[in-house]
Amino acid sequence: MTTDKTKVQLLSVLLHLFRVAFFSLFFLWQGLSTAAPQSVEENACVTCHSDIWEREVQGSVHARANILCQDCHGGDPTQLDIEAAKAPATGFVGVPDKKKIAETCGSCHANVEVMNFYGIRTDQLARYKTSGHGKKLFEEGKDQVAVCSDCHGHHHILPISDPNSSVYPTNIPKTCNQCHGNEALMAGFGLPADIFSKYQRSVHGKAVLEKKDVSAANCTSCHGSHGAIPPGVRDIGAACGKCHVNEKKYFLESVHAPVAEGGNFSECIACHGNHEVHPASKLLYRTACIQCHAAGSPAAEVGENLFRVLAQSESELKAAEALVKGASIEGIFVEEEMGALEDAKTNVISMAPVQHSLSADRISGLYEKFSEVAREIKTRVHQKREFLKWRKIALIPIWIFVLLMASALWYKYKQLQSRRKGNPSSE
Amino acid sequence: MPSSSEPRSTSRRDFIDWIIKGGLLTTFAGMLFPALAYLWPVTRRGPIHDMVEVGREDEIQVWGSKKVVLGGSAFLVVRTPTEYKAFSAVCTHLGCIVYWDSDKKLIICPCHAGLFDLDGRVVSGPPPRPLVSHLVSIVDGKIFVKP
Repeated sequence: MTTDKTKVQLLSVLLHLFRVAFFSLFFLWQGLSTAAPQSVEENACVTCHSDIWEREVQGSVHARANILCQDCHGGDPTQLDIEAAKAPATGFVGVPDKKKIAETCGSCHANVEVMNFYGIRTDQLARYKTSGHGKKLFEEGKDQVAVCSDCHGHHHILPISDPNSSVYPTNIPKTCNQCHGNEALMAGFGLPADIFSKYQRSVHGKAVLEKKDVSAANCTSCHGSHGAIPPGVRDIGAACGKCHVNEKKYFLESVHAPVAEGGNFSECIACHGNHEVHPASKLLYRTACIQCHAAGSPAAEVGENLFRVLAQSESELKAAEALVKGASIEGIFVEEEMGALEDAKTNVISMAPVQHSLSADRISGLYEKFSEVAREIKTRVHQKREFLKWRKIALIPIWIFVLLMASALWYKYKQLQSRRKGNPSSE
Repeated sequence: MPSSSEPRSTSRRDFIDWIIKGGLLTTFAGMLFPALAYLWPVTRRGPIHDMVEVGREDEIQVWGSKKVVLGGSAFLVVRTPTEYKAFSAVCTHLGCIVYWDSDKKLIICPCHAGLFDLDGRVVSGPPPRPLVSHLVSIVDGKIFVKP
């Protein structure tokens, strides 16, 4: 009985071991056969679509990170047979639709664990779903809107810090214009298609597109990138105030601030416009104020007074600069005056942001400071000119002395010469 | 006749001689003055070449600053617990004069809120470039800056 029992137990253990070994080998084989190859050379997608790989994908940021075809398109990259590689069980999707694109990109880019070491934010998909584009795609099912690949490209995706990237700051306006400059497409959404041409003429557009100034505002600076949406009336100040910090600060002190808070005044764009922002000029007091306030009204008169102080300051600054430059050309040392001129200039430049408070007192305060320095410069240059005049007058006795000396020496020379002729033996 | 003309001739000759002597003395003094003026600053300012004295150490407290004008432009000297730093005080944005904020430990442009750190680097705001920094030396309690 004991022997039979031992035999049964041994058989049971052997059977269990066999079962474990069988399943281990099976799963190992399965694992080996379905694991994605780690190298490009072993990737069947690349083998067949080598033209696309070489032309579009090879230099992309994803290729460098070994994110290959199957990661977005599905399929089995271990299968050289096209039917097997694109079999339904492989999850092959071919060209994904727009929703699928957002979700596929988000599968990595919204995954904190995946993106952690790349230092890339993971809220792009969440933000996209709050954007005008995202809402139309996900809520209204309109697939004409932009999705990740429309801005970043699909195969040849470059890091945003690469100047060749379609989302590099200086390239963003043109990238957005691919859709927002399309009249037929924009008509479907009731949007204008001339924004890019307006932006091109603006102070921001010239800085970005002509001077290649990456710090100047492009489309995403105001609208956002992944969460792109037109700023509402109350948000405009926040959008502009990100860069124009002091202008925003002083605007909040102005009589317009509570009106804007109530949503009845569109802050910055009420005077400066939006896409076609021209360089700020004091002339706005004569063109923008009267759009809301009647010409000659007390409110318009406040603007007119500010205009006069600004104009006077600019004119006096130019006069002071010309005075110092002229004195310098005359040969007068004006180092101190040039230093003082920088102080004076600071007060005039400061008026630009401060004027957003619409406070006559503040502007007058700056004008007084400027005026005091300008007067001091004028006085000093005048004194130096006077001193120079007296120095020139002092040259007269010096020249008389020189002439007297020359005459005396000439006379002495003649005297010695005549003595030598009269008494040659003295030599 | 010669006897009557001789004293007058001697007097005129003496007069010319005095003019020449006086003129030569004045000319010599004129030559000596720049030589002395050249020697005098060396003993007064010390041997630092191309550097300009902008004040004494006790004029600036720790984390304090001083604005000076050198060569027609404003400079900002900041004292930290360990060293002195000097920068051009002209903001690289539109040319306003910056100031040192000892509470924030930042250099601030009052015009458009450009901020610079203690190395002159742009922290935030529109300035496109850092502030130009300048060499500072301390000799016998005096602060010298190379413009």
